[in-house]
Amino acid sequence: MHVYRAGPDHAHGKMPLLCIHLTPLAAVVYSKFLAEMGRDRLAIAIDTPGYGNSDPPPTPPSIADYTSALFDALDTLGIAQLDVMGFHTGSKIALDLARSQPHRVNRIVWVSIAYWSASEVVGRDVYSRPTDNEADGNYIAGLWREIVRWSTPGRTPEQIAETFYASQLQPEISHWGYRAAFPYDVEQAMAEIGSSKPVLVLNPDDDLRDHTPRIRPLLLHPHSRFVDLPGWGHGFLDLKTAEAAAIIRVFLDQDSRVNQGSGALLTPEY
Amino acid sequence: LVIPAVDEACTGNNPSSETNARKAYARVGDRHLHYRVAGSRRTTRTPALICLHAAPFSGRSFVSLLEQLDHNRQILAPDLPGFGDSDPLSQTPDVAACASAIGLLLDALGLETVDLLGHRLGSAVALELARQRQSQVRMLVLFSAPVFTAEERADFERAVRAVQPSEDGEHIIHSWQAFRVRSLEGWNLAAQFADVLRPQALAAWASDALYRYPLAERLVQVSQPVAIYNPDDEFSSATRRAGPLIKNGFLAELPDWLPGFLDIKAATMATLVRDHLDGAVR
Repeated sequence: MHVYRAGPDHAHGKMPLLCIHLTPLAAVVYSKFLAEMGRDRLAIAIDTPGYGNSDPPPTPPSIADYTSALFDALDTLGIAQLDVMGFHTGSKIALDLARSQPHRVNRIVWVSIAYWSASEVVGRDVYSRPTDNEADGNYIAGLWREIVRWSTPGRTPEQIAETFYASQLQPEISHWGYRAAFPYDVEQAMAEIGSSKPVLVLNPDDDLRDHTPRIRPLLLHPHSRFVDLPGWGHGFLDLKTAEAAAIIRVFLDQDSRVNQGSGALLTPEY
Repeated sequence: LVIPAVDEACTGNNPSSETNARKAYARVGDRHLHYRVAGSRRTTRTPALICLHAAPFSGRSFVSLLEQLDHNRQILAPDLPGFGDSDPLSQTPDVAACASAIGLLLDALGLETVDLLGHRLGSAVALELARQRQSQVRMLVLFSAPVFTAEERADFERAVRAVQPSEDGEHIIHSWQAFRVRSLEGWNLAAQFADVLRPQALAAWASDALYRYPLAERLVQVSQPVAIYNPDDEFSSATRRAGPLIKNGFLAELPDWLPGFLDIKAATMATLVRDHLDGAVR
């Protein structure tokens, strides 16, 4: 497992924050955000198995398999309790972390989440097929154009290139995240959590903008919040790092009052 | 994030997955260098083999070779500074600075005697490291070691520009075709293509560093045994010029070894490397 970490191992009054990436990208999408959040807490992002630099699982995993792998990593890192943040597929993994070991997860942050009925999952089956094993440049360019399309206005091609390469690090299995995410039963997991966990939902103008609001009726905790982010799209963690961190800090730190530390150095490790 | 649909059937194999090599970071000065390592030092007294990659790739390009060689010796494939997952150099990067950084990595890992394998830019870095650390570097095996003429350098300076990423993704199609146009059939370019797409790879400095490197002058200064293999790529005629300059070693042609040989011909390559390092070829 490949990990980026920033910030102090022990920050008084602040939970460590685990950030989980979207499919088919990797933890590198959180680089700038981790450095910002690491100012006052331990902030980490982990490549899920088969993404980025983390070893692939032997067979296509389920969300529960990703959850299990991340808890193993957290155990190795000595992190007992934490806040979790997910982005698209990562949102479902964050939810499953909270569902499966509720005593370890404090608060949940999602950047977009979608769930589908059984018939809608069938309709989305195309996305869970493997990519062309001998992928050609046109296929990869198509993915690039999708990211351009849903990016925050003003995000330059150079800024997209900072993280886009990560989508091609394990190209033969880069669809496995979709395969796991589409059938995941969000409704059931939310029912298990009930009103025990506060959830912050960020809803930028990305490809899930119209799906994400469907989660609203399931947000039962009184501190849960749903925030529309019009004009924000993919890349906002890089383009609006401080603003995003401010929104998320207010939510995560509702119960604590500790001053921010100085800027954090990002450290990669396995 | 939505990806476009494709209709290919799953073949079930996953040639880009890495099974043998362990990946790690070493902190060298104020930056992280990323490397792959296979084999074990405990089982052998053989010097570790350090594999130095071509631009714009990374240590990932040696994954097939690592699988073939790791029974015999410890073998490391670092990402050169500014490539793969290694932090870039702070100063204007050149071959000598890359070699110095790899030397510091050897120190950090406690490797006293090493053999070097280079590919293109990696060959230049290997020669430079052999010069910088004469007593530490035992032998060299270089795949492409181009000696450029002044005219070739001038042509290059006119031709090469950094790749500008564009919204329509044309830079991706262009790069793909450039690497695919003349390569071995069956080569899995997709498994290496992430490194081509990295922002630092889009810059022209890496090829620039190789063209500027005075390889001929350095080659005659190197006293260690050198084997140069000349694969069939756009540097073949330039590499051929290196042959007469080798003081202690040989140049051998590898006809039909088109780009992609690091994967497709990894087993044969491993035999060539092993034979040379073990003293079977003179």
